[in-house]
Amino acid sequence: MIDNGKITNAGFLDHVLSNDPVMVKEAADTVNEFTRVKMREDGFARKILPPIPLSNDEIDRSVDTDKPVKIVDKEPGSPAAITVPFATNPIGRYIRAPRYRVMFARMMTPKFNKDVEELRTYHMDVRQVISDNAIKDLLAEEDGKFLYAAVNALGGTPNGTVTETGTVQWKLSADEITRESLVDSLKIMPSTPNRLETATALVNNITIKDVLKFRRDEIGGDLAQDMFLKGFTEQMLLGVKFIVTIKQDLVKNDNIFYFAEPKFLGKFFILEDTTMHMKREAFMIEFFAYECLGAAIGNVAGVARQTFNNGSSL
Amino acid sequence: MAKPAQMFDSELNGTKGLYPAMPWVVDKAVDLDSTIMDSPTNLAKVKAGRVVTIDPTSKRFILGLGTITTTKHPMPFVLFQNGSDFDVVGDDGNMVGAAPQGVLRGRPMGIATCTSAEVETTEYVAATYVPGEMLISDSDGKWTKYVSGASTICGVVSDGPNSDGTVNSPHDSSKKLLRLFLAYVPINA
Repeated sequence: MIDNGKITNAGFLDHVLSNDPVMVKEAADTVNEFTRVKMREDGFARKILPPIPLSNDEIDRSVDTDKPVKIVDKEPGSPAAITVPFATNPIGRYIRAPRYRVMFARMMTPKFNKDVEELRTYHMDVRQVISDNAIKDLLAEEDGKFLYAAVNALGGTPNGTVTETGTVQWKLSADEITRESLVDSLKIMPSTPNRLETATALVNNITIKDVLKFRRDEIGGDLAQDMFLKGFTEQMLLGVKFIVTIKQDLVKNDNIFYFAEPKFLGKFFILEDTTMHMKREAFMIEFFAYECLGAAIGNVAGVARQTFNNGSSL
Repeated sequence: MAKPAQMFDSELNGTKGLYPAMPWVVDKAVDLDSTIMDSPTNLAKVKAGRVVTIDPTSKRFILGLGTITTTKHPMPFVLFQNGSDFDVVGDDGNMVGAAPQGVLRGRPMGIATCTSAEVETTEYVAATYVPGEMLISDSDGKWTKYVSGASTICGVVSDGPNSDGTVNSPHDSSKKLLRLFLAYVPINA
């Protein structure tokens, strides 16, 4: 349940309309708490790659810019051990490890403003409206950018070989979603040289309906019955956590994105968590939400995608 | 020893009326056009202080004043960031710059030259400038003198104590800045 209970809905409007800056700040803090919890609950990017707060002393610096950046080490590749006869020296291998950079940018909502006298005439839950708008706007941007980054890592087009792994990680096929094709699609990620297993799947709320068609003889008794009665709820299928999103503009029909466990996938850092700025000046109130974060797919082998039905809705 | 690049090698400084993110500043964050993103040479020209306009077809930033017709004079913007800045273009796999279809599109912020402000910039064509001189942009986004013909005046030289009409950079004694008022004056031939 999301309600910090510090300020009631009716009290919230009183705080917002107050001339006292402290009360306006309290109102902003209330929205902040509410918003941050919802951001964690509703964003699929944050579920796939849980964000890590970054403090100032953890930020890396550069000579030619004062923009923040975080450099992350990747595990170095290791040549295989070999069998040798006695008295043989080991071959030399100097250690050099790859790294990747996580860049940061600010995401922000539009700045809303309103004359407080007009705001008094609204009977709706203003706190809800303010935070819901902020959440909707910021999550659309966060999730969108995350998914675009994943597609970028996969090379941008289906059935192309990903340079880093030498394998196809975005497969396009004419298959419909069946138990067989679903299981086959789960082979994409372990087929790369890194042999990672899929931990999370992302699918939209249209495509997941095809899974609901699975019969008792395909997925077993109780689950077939549960899905027939209750529909699909976020759950494990084939050892993978399926996240269902309504963002069909981002996750197109007939597409399933697969992600490895966060430690094998990349990093999602937060420099400044979602913050609602709220200010009253004379009779005008203004507010907007912003956050500063950066995320990167550091290991392209941790992303895969299957497009069914020849991608008719790509 | 080679001198490393510095964050003030290309810069836009507000001297009057321009403080970023203040409510009176008319700024706009727009994706860079593919003619820039697909060309490392052109991306290297995206520097703080250079002039860009929004291409009417792609709706993205291009360097310079764009195509001017009798009825079209794209609004010039002066860039606040560099194309190499981490908050403008990220590496592959980063959220910064990620765009649909898996492409990268840098997104810098530009300040419309209709904003009432005086600024200084490193990004000008070397010449001798005098106060009151009207300024346009070349195709690389560098400020230069207006001579004649259809164009868009996007600045007017304000002052400059040096013999060539410039001011010394406060950050690097080897660099000079052109100080100008922002303007938007379409001129049809």
